Amino acid sequence: MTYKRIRQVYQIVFFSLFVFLLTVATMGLVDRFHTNLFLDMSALSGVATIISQHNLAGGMIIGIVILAMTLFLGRFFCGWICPMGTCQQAASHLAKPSTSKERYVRNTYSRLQKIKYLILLIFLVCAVFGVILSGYLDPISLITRVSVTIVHPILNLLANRIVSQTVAFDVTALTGAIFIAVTLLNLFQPRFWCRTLCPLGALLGVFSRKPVLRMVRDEEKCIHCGLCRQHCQGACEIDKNLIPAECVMCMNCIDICPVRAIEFTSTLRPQKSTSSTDSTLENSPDMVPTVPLNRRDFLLSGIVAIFSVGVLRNLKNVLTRGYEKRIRPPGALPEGDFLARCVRCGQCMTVCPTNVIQPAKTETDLEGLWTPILNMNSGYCDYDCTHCSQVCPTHAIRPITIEEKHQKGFAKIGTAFVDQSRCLPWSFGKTCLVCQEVCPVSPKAIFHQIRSFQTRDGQTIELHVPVIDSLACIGCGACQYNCPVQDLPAIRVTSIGEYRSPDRKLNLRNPT
Amino acid sequence: MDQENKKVSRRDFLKQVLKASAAGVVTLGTGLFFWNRNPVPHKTPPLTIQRFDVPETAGLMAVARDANVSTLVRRAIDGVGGISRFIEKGDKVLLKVNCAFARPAWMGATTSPEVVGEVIRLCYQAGASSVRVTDFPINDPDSCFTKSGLKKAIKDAGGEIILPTPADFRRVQVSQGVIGVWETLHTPLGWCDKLIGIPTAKTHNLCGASLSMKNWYGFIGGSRSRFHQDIHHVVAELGAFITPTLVILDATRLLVRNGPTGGSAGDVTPGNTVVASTDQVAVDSFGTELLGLNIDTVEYIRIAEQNGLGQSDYKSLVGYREVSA
Repeated sequence: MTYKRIRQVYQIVFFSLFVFLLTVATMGLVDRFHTNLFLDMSALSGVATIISQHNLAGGMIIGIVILAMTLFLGRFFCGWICPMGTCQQAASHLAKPSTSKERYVRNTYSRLQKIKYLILLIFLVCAVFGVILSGYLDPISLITRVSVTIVHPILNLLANRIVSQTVAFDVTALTGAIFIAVTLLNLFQPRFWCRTLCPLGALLGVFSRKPVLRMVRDEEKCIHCGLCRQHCQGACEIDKNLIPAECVMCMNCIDICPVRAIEFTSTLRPQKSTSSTDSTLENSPDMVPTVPLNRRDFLLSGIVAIFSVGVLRNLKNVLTRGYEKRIRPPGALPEGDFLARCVRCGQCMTVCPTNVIQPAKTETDLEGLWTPILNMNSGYCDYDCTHCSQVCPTHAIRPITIEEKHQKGFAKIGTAFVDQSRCLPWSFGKTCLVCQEVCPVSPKAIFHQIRSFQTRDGQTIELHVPVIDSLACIGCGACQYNCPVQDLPAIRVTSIGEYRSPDRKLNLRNPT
Repeated sequence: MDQENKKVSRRDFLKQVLKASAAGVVTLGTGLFFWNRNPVPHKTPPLTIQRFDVPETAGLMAVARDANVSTLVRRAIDGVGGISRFIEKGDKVLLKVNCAFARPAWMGATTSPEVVGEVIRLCYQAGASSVRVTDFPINDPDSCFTKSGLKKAIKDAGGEIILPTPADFRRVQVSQGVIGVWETLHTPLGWCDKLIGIPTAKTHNLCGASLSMKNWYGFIGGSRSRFHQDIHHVVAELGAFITPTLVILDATRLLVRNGPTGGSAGDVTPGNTVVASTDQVAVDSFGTELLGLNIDTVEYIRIAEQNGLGQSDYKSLVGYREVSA
């Protein structure tokens, strides 16, 4: 079997595993499978949370192990494991040039490839200030988000005859557009994403500047046919001076070489120095540093990052001022810590049995794009469920048990308010009290008062109107979700009163 | 770079493996160091505030009455043993005035500038090294100190104003009851050796009267509007939280209606009184009477008394004196 075949088998196995784990996650089997495996493999998320929170959550040590292995093996993760990389590689076949010349040119190292290092640098500087943007472009978070919020609902719709509840998510247009745009860039260059944009690839690239094992071309055997470059996935200049940080370990070059001049081996193997005989090849770039960043790049990225932090975070005052729609899942850390960890992967959304968790769009401003918020019009927080807290890879939603949720106040994510002007009994003299019926806490947070109502023809009737006990209410949204006034429900939950911050409590005395 | 085309010896190769291994160990070690560390962000324990009272000065109270306001402060303080009984040479003194609103002094919503100026001068006479004045008002702090005339009076007397900044607030264990741990104006409280409260006598729409214990509200930050749900317990807890060196009640004029803001001349009547005391309950009880209110309507005084903070029957205090012209 050729190297290429072995690599393809690995890619298929890992991609299938990725699909399988997402599938079992949507089925709620979070106890039996480690559904976060791929998110845990992202060293970018791991390093970013180490910087922002000085903490590496749970399984994310896997990403650090991969990072350490990269020192010996190069970017094997990109070429062999990454599901995003597999997608990109598959897509690159869509527009394969027919002529060898064209193929050769497309795989020439481009100066644009340093963009990914700039992106990485901006993300890491932002993380210093507790602003995690890496999830926007972390390939694992990105493809998980696409799978969760687009692929899963579509499959669910197709299977809707079996599964009764449909799921749907917000901002899918943007989520999908980014993925499609990135994939279409393959028309321009194979694996454009991996070469030019991917911040995880950049981080792994930094660790594979001088890997112990790498592609080694025997200059004596080499006939300079250029076939290796024509089939190169990473534009790593294998036919000249290899840039190991760009090599994604596709190993196409080993198999394609007609004279077997390329091997994946250690640098121990003696080689003849022939770097001066490059004249046969055109367009040879000058010696490219493995990580081509200069002082100006560092300065620029730092300034961009600091301005991003200022615009996204400090100018909006998001940590000190409550925002009514920022209702986070039970177990979520205080907003500042939460934003310093959430990588916007969408795992919490896919395991949620009621579809209440939605990716945020404008509710949380640009900084919180795709972070989970609870929309009580699309679902409600099940009182006896903690699935979302079990799957959060970075512990932005800390793992809690049902007992903790019930007894330690984690269930309290907001407070419901009756909009008396829209409520059927309050405003129209109709009996209703659906909200009281569905309230899950005991004793119920919604009780009723008897109120006299004068009808249009002058009769006085007595009826029950709902009233909320703000101490007992946990803000689960069952009332809002089930309210018969369906467009703008007559009972609505806002984030005030949530357990996460003393500033956003409502009652002076809170139940313990 | 460009290692590929060099001839690499065994020694060089071993060096490279060693380097990669070292980097690998550092990478893994860093990961393991941060792995599941503080799974939930660790909150630093709340801070506490020291006591400011001087030993063997408990239960003192002197009431000075005179139409000539200028000497009232000195006479009231002399009535409890003179300023040097409380302020030692070199002390850093903090004055907590009531400067809650950006209103002129005549409206009676803020402490009189003359009273504050006189206290500052007395502190310096007793040898204080530095006297600072602070409040965390409801309106903009700078406007409050300017419009109330306090800024000028404090500057003229050689004092210094501390306008609170967000960095000055820290989590402090205020009480074990309703308030618990709260964002508190910590920097000036941590700085000073002695603390003198200078409230002004006002009615208050919610808690009846705003006097010495209610004055500590200006040390509290965070979303303190929640305190209105149980104001009397909160004020009593604030009284227990702060143990001042001395309390000086400015009752030179009384805001008898429309408190705590006032707004018209008709809300204010002359009081011609200054009280100096080490017993907050006694002062508040006296002030309530002076405002023409029934002490039973000001619930926090009873709560504080039940908690052993002081004595509402001020006349029976051993150290009670009246100083009249």
